Amino acid sequence: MTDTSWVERAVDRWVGAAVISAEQGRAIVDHERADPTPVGQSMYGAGTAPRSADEAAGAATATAAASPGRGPARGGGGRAAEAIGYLGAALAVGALALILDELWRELVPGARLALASLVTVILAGSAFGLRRASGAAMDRLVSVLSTLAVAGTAWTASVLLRDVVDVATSPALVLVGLAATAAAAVSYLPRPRLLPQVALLLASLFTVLQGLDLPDLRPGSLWYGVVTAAVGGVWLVLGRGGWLTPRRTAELTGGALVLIGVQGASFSDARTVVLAIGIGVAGALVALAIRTDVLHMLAVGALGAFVLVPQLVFEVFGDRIGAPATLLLVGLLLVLLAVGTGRAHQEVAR
Amino acid sequence: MSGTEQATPTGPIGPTGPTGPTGPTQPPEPTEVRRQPMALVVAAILVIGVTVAVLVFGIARPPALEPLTATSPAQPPSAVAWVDYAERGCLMVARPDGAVEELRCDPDGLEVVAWDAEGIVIRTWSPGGADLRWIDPADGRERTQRDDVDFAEVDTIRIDARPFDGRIEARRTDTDAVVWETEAPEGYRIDDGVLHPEGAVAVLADSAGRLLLVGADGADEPVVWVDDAGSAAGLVWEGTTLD
Repeated sequence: MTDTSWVERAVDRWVGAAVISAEQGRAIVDHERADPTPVGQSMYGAGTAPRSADEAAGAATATAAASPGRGPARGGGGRAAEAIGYLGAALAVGALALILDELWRELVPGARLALASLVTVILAGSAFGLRRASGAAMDRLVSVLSTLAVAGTAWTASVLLRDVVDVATSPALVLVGLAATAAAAVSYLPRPRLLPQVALLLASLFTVLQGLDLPDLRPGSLWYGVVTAAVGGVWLVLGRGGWLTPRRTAELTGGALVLIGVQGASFSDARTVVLAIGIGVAGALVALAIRTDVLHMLAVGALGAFVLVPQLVFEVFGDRIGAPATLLLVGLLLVLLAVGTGRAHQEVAR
Repeated sequence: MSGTEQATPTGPIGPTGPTGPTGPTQPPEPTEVRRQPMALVVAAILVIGVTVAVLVFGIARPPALEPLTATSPAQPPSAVAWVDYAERGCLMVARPDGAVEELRCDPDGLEVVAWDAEGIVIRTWSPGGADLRWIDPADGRERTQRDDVDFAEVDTIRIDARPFDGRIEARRTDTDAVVWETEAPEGYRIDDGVLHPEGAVAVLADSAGRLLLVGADGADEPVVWVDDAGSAAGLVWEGTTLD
């Protein structure tokens, strides 16, 4: 097999600079590993090297664009097989869960703990054992296994704290969240991938929200929404700042969580103010997306505006002019979105 | 924070390598994007700011009340039973001396219906329908059971509570008379309440997990009978009989 280490380094640099997507990068590396011809020869003909990095980048991009996300000798058939495999596994797991539900009440706490621990160890061990396997499909499998191991950790902690030790519900759920967050961090930090990152976000959010349930008197819905939005904001900021990768995942999930938090906080006495703030946040995301050519943030901001603006209009104007005013605003938003999207596409094309 | 990062060409990509096997290689590790310390600072400020805001403005305390003592104006004439839904649906009992016991738990759920001379009457559900079971209040064991009982009534006067404008009012459902009224933070509720069969006192379960004892005439402030009743629902006084 050809020495492709320098291709891998170059691909890493291009992915980091968002020249190509991570999926295209993996396709390039897989393709070059499978090709016995030296890389320079395979791209430019025998005895010819790329004249510049731009030419090499352009050729690599063309190769990736011609076969996006495809490994060596795979293509649509391989992906379909992988999808069918996951579907089959999901059905099997669902069936096992139904069977287990019938037996669960008959098990003593020790047996429950043993069963949950066994499942978690199998998942985590499989993810650990496969972590050095090459190929995009194995990469995805490891991500799925490690994410399931995080869920298994939460399950095991729940059985231990509630059934075995008999800790009260509220503190037990906080401890379950902490255990899941720790497991998610262990799976994400060495291999920052999409699924482990999402698992880390959800585990962190769960822990924080359960913490709000600890006091004798729980805060109102406003604060659950504020905290949710804050967690999303932290994720978005860390993603933008390069501290969380994949960066696009962090920006998307963080932005979406901010708007979900705003929506949750709006079900309180401060509804009008919260909705106005939410619309401001959505507008800021759209402006940021247009200014920095980050189209996925445009989608998040636009969706937030479409959801929140009608609510604010009805909150302020009631049924009097609510419907026509909403239609007017939505129409203006669509125009702005079209202009912004067009500008963003022009920038990308340049 | 910067905008989209662009690739910076630095010259020829690299040599054409020799042919031949080089052995298995690791999957490409994602390159570290330029990390911006300011993002970390902003995130830290956000975390600290929201934490302080929640602690200062979000966490409220329930109305401060005196604990039940021998000299309290309201005294419990008998024991009371309830279901604690926070702990897997457990049947709980509070005695007049303040002792609290967990008698039994049922993950499928149970409902306290009455408390007569035969024991605490609970309703449970099975595929065949609802059953009534009589539970020994001393040890939680089942004494007797009646199957397929879908309808069982008791004649009690419940206490209903409504929050408004930062206050909460607990009223009798028969006369609408106020038994307790106080300032209350957002989120504070009276989840359940029932008048004793003799009519002198009422027990209330609040959202802070307390059981409060109050005179039926509303003349005095309630006292805290049980400090940690969980998520109490279905309060039933000892002496409440089935119709």
